[in-house]
Amino acid sequence: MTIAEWWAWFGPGWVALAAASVALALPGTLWWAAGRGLAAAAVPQAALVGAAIGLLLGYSRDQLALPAAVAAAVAGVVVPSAGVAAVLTVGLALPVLLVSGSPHGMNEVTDLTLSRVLGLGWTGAWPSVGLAVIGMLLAWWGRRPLRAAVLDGAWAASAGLHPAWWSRLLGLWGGVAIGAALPAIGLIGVIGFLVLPGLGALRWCRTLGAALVLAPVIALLGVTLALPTAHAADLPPVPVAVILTALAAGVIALAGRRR
Amino acid sequence: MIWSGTGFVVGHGGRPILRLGDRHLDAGQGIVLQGGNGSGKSTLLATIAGSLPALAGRQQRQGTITWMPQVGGLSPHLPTTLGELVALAGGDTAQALARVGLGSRAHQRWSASSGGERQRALLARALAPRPQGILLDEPDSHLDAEGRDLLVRALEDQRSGGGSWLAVLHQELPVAVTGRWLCRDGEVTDDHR
Repeated sequence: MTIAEWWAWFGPGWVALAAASVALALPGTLWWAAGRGLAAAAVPQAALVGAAIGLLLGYSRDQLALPAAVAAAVAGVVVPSAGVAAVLTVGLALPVLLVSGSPHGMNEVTDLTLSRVLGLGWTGAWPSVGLAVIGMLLAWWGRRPLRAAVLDGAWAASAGLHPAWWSRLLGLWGGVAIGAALPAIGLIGVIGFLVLPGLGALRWCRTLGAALVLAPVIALLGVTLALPTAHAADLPPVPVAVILTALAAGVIALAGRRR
Repeated sequence: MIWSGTGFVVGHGGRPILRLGDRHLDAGQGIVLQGGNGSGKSTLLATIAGSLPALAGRQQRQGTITWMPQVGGLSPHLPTTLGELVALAGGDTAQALARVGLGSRAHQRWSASSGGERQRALLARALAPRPQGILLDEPDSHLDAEGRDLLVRALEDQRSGGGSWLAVLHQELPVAVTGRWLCRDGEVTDDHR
């Protein structure tokens, strides 16, 4: 297969996966820094519940996934850890129960849990690209108030940096990224790229600002290695990308402990 | 006048803890806030700082007022350095760190710093924007003798530069004090001892 043929087949999927990984790694890093890492796993589960409810009500599965992700993410910024853990647990079981009477529904939920990134066309890839660009601009534009809100919200309020406003924006940002990425890269990919790059970057970097640069690099490294690996071994690309990102993040985190 | 409050009431969750009445903080003042545990000293400082809303009353401020909260309120695992934390306040980070004896530790991780180093970093963050007023909540806890000397110098510099400070102190410090506010039984009164 020539490069042109490879690109024609896999280009949109690769671009969507790479862009979604960046779009998710940025809010994921900030959630970890704020001590809300559990929300990074719970919010995508809540989005899956939303998708299942949507199916039950006769909507397409993606129509309610995005609003459910946004609602859960905005709430996830302020809900105590116990509440987030409850959402995570319920979110694992409820979608299956909701659609258990419908084989079609079960297929849809299974499809959302996995991914169909290789079948994606350019139309499906551009939303992830847009979100990645918006995320990078937001992280740059709001670098001071975002870091202040995440690191010391009480002090940030005294400094006029509006941490409550920025925390809600962070929830909205994460929710939109999750809801938009879920149909493209599936639950496994969403949770993987929300959790892993930030975890590795925060262990390596001394500052949160530097971690916000390294996390997307870790995500892109995992994705870049994954597609040829998955293609050569005939494996689904998103789980391979998540495993390779986990390896990259793990190596970086271990190396970071020595710094 | 740097700060003034009229009919000022502070508290938590809608429950009043302290009635401040009408008070003000003027240029050149250094005021110690006194009172027992749970008397509302920290709540008062956080409310004047703008971190908590006042339950009643109005306040006015002229110029920048910064707040140094208790170091125990921050997670020991914050993913940041002393320098990044101070830089968030704006102003000259390097100079602020040097004033508290942390000039060479800007790149030191927060999680690898001692309680005293973290305390100094929070003091540097409060000093960095060169504020007209500083609110300090137990700034002397965790500090060694050198740290206390640097704190005393910073408080004296603040007043001599035309600014003011209002502090809850863990212990008596050798610093000139122009007034004492006593928090007791839900009221703030002047302590004329």
